[in-house]
Amino acid sequence: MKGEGSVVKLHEIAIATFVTVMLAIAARADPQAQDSESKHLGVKSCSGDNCHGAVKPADHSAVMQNEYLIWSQEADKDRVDKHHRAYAMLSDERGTRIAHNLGLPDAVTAEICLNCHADNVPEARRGPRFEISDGVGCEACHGGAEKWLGVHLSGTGHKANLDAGLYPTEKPVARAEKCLSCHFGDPSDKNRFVTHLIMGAGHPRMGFELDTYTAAEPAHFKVSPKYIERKGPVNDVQVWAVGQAISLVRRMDAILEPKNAPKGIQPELVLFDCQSCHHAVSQIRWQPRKSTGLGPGSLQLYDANAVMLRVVAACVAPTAAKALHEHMLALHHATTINWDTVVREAKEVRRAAIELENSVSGHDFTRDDMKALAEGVIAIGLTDDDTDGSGAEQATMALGSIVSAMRMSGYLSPEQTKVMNDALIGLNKSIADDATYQPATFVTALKDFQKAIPQ
Amino acid sequence: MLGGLTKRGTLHRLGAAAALAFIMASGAQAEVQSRGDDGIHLGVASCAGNNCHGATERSEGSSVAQNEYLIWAKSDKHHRAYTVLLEERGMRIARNLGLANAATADMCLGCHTDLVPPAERGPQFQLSDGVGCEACHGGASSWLGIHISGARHSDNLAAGLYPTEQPAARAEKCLSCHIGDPADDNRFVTHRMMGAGHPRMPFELDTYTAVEPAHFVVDQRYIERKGPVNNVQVWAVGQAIDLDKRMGALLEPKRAPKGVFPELVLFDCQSCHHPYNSLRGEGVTTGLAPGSVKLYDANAIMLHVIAARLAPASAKALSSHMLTLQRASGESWATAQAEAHEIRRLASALSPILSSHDFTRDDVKAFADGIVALGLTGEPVRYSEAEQAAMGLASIFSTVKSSGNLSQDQITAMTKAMNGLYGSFASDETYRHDPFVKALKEFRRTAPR
Repeated sequence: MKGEGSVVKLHEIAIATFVTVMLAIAARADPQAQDSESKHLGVKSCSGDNCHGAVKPADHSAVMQNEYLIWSQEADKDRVDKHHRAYAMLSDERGTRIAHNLGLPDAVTAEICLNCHADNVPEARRGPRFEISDGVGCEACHGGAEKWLGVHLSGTGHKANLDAGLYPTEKPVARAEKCLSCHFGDPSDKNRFVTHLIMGAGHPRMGFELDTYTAAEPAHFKVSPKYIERKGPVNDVQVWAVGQAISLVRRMDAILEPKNAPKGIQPELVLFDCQSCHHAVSQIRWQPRKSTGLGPGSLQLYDANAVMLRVVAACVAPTAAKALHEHMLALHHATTINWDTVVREAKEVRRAAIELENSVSGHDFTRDDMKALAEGVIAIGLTDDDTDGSGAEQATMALGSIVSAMRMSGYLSPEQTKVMNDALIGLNKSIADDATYQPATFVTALKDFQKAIPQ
Repeated sequence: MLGGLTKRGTLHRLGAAAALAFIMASGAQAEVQSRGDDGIHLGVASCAGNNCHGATERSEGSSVAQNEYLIWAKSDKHHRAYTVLLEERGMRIARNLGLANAATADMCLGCHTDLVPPAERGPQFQLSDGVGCEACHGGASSWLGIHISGARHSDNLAAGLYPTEQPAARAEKCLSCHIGDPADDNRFVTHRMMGAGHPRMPFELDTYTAVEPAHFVVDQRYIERKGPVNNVQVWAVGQAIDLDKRMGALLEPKRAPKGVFPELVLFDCQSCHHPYNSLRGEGVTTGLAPGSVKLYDANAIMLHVIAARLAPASAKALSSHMLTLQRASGESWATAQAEAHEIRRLASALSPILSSHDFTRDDVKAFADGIVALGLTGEPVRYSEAEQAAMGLASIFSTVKSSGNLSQDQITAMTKAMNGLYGSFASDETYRHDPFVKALKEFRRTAPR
């Protein structure tokens, strides 16, 4: 039951509908490693056919060796790793249009685009085979290879690689930090944060959930016994939970960033829930939400991560769940008062999220936890606590991660897996299109999913 | 030419069919007089007698059609303004606003009925009549006597009948609800109410007069008693007063930003309310960067077209202040207010000029060209602009048509073109710039040169 790509496979089936949508609209990536000095040697230094560009694994290889082929889509043309196309798409119709709307001569020479659409390290740190046009290549996530490529090639073990500077993408916290450095961005860096200006110019919305996006990338690793031996076990629920905590911290950072404070009379709109405004005038579906306490006609801050984290906290640290809920309510309310109050409450939420990040990354998620989390996520929808498009999206991805974790842990029979996957497909369909999303359809799918959970 | 308004009513009904279904369906508001300074309101029953305004056919010698009550009761949303408060949507809105019942809430009744104080309600007055006769024509206690006795119109007016036939007075009256009074919490639809489910409120004086449907006919007797009607003038005056009132809302302290956002109802709905897979705010007509929220400015754009012909200096000033206003709206409320003040001054100065101007055939042509030109700049035409542009062209068409200079073929072709225009923005969700511009060009092609 465990192992050999089952995470990937499951997600692949379960989120088929939705991944297409999500990936189609999410083309960012994570370039700048924390290797502030190492040279980036370029994709070509990794893609040798004895290394990560092999068609099939060599005997005794610790990894699949076809990582380059998966990334570059040569392994499977239908499974697109957008990171590979991140640079190229800057010159396609949409990229050109966005650049035009922003008053840029083109997107491929603009830092504001390149910082996430390529591994945009300074010129001095580019090796001879480095190509900016490789988009978000190996070293954008794994770090500049100059210092560790030698050790890595000599096969001395994963720990030695890490010690030499390989980025620990297998660790949920580190992976979350890395992915979010573009998939949410760095609010303090004007060239690494998608503002509402950029959205308004045509940039797509940026949905993200760490575990789902890992699977949907598609992942170029398999959790095999060798993987576990070298890098430790993988629990999708933990990846999900850690991702939620860190996403929330980043979102609070963005609120706290002075650049995003209201200039004149409007704050940075990208901090708010897209569908809070972007629904047709005929699609008014406001209803009271316990999680926000806001009245009709208000814009609400994006809070889907906070809602998910509250579900996690209810399982891992119940008092923290209550505190998080109260701080989030206060934060929402603050938007009806003034920005200073918003900032004050955002600090509280940030602190609560950081505490939870610690509890969550050390927690051993059991079978009972997984069930409780699934019930918690479902309850949010069934009690109308959050059936907004953003909430439904996060809930669906959460349930995908939970099913994956249950399956990986051997808690599901093949029949049960199939039933749950079918239910996930229903959920994904209910959220596939923002423009036609209807809460009632999502809630129905949620009830079907609930029935599919083995008792 | 005589009876032009009836024909125009028909035209609007034909030409605007698509749009009207949409506009009227989404606009159940009304105009009432709740100032309480116009005497006792005697109630619809006092007007609806079958010898008076409730007749099925005109009696000999009558100066009006006499079926006004029947038109109102049968086809006019004003008649249903109270009832809709008790329907599914009305109840949902009330619930979302935390009200027990919309039909007992002044914030709803202020525009959905003729909400005069109880002391000013006559024995036959019923709140449930919705926006009845006296909501627009004024409380009848002071004038009903001489009105029944067949007084001249001027005597009725002198006795207190509201002069709805005068474009400026009509605009004031209609807009007192169709925009509302921003200083009065019981007569202004805020974004909170919109968010609770209240429909968007488009308005254009001439079109809305026609689609109410009008319960008057501009015939010889009408003109003798009330003067001639020029649809373009009604449109133009409506635009000036509309803009004046919108700027008034920006200046009203009650509508100043609370919390981290300003009162959002002052902004262009579709500026935010579009699916993000159809980004549309990429034009620079407002001088704003992508992703900015834009103030509603469609009236200003129309008034600019009008002023460009009749008062070029005002047009220039209007354009420059509107640009600054749009920019300021994202930067500083104080600057926005200073600009709003200037624009209000310009609009209120234009209003009397337009009220007394004798609109010539060349004026009308210039307006048509000016509106069509809005779509030909290469910049996307926003939904709110498209809506006002089409209603403006409908008024122009009415005027041209009532001049009697169009052949039946021309009328048919232009009616078809108007239908196309209305069809091109029938839904804000499916609205796209290109089909609208195509329809605009088709209108231009059919218009007489």
